[in-house]
Amino acid sequence: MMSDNKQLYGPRGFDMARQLRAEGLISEAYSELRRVQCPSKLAFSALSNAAYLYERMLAKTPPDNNLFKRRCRLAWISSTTSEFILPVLRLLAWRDFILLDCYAPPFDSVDREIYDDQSGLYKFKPDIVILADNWRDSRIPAISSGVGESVVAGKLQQILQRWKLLEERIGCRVIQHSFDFPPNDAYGNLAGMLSGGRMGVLRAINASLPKIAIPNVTVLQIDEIVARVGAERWHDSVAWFSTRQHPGLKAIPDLLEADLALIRATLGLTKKVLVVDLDNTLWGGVVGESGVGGLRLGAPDPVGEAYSELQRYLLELKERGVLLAVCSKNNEVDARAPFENHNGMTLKLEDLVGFMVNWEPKSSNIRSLAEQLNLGIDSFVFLDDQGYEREEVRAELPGVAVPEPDSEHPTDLLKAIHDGRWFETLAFTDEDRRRHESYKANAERSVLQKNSGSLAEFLKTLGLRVDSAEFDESTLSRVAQLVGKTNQFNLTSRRHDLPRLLQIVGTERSWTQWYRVRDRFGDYGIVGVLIATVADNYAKSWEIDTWLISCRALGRGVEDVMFSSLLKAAKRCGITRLIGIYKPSEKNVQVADFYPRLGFSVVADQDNGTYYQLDLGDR
Amino acid sequence: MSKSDIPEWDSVATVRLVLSVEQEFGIHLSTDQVADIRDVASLVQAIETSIKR
Repeated sequence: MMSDNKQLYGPRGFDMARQLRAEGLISEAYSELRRVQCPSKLAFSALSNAAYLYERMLAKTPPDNNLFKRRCRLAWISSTTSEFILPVLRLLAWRDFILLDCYAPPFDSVDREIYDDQSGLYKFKPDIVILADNWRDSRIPAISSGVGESVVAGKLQQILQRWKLLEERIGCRVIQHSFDFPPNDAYGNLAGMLSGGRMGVLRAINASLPKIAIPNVTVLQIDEIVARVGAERWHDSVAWFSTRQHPGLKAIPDLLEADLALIRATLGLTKKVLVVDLDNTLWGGVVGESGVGGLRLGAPDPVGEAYSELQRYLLELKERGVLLAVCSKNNEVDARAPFENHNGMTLKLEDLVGFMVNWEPKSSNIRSLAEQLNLGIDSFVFLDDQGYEREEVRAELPGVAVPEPDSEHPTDLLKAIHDGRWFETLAFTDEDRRRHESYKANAERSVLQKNSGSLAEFLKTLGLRVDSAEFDESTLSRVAQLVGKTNQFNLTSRRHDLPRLLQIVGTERSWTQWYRVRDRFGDYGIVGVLIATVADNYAKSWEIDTWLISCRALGRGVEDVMFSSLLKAAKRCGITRLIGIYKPSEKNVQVADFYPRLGFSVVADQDNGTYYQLDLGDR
Repeated sequence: MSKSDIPEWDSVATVRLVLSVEQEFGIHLSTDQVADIRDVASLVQAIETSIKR
């Protein structure tokens, strides 16, 4: 069974895809390529062969455009070759439904590319720039005369200047790789001890990068990745001396998984919910057979401790804003018993936002959980020790991420969930901290709603309170998060990133507003965003650039509160006409008739959306 | 068949080739062995030397 699974995630993906393509089954071949999961377990050569196949397929028979959830222009800026890296990155992006258009500057021209505003980089206009620096580029000598601090400050200044240039000229997201260390330093231990030693200097630079990072910059912690893959794989002298490839080929999959997680976060594709199985996933043994007393969980049993470790990790995920749910084939009474009576349990029932315990297929349980939580299927990650269950969910719900563990042992389950980096975000906000509470409160609200006679009555008993204000420094990262990932109640789905939002806020031609919602069950945090800009052709009209409400605050009448505040603001600014745009996406059908419902009338139906207007004179 | 006959056979192709070969035979080729690969015969020789080692 296990070796079968290995085959499935090893070279099989490539061989199968090649065969399917030869038979003319193009879309099946594309699906097969998406199965290239957990690539750190794949030999780089297999991954790279699959990547070249993907490139050839893209060139000849590209897949249907709407299979891609996002398109992204990415520049990989590095002093080393990118020939091995970019094809693999594009293949991995396809697994995540992202179409990457890539650019790499000519060899050895990093500074010219960034400083010269006529360079290929600026013509390419990337959404994301990855600055893949390494210790060689840093040009830090083995020992710096005088104090190390001035060397550090000088280097930081140089890096900061690059970031600022990129922000000013293209306003893109920057992923800055921190520095690795040389594999051999003649100063040995002193390299880290002396203030001017290279290791000490590079460490000090790395430590300062997050502190000096401007809002559009994220620093990828390269030392963590080197530690993970091992210095021997990271520093590959054959690859370096023969082709100027750094890091080593065997380190590329892990590095790219880490970069890709940040790309997903930038594009608003971070997963939100982790669904876990119970028996042999959260604890060792089958509770329905051996009872609570027979489970392996907690000290002093080493296996039991490994399950506790997994639970500790899940609890930390919950605290950083990931929603946890259980999906298990069990009798409900049996499944609850360990949560209630086993003192080795770290997770409690109240840490979960869903408890799907029945004998139905897991895919249908996940589907109904998605409906309950009002989240898209592709917000889910599913962890199960049983290959059969993983395959069932993969087959039924291709949008769900299903990590493939090396074995069913708890340590491998934990590794599989961590290595996927599904939950990476660019910031940690108040909303992340409160997400779990807020979804729990939602569940209580739906009970109240069921018991209320009408929607109006329900809203009244809810005691809704809404605060709002213009975007400012303290709210901007939350606004950017919402703009990046809100799918359902989102009229235009314009994914402005943080630098772009800063630009919008900075002009007099715009009106921005965030909305924070509270009710008797709790605080939803900031869940609504409105951006209006003065229309190009008519100064007295506002075009509603963005109108969105986070899915967890839907059905509360928040949109009405937003509308009345928009009307008030428009009047105050002397605006006589509002222009609304509905741009259909895969997920925003529920707001297709939103503007007509508010009394807007259609003015134009164009490729880029339906335009509505509302004259305010008579209101 | 040598590198000069096949335009696509550049240094990147050599390294990909070496990686597949290392994977297949469970060997490791050194920098100088890789540098000496000019044609199929020299590749085979590098493999044979490494297996005997």
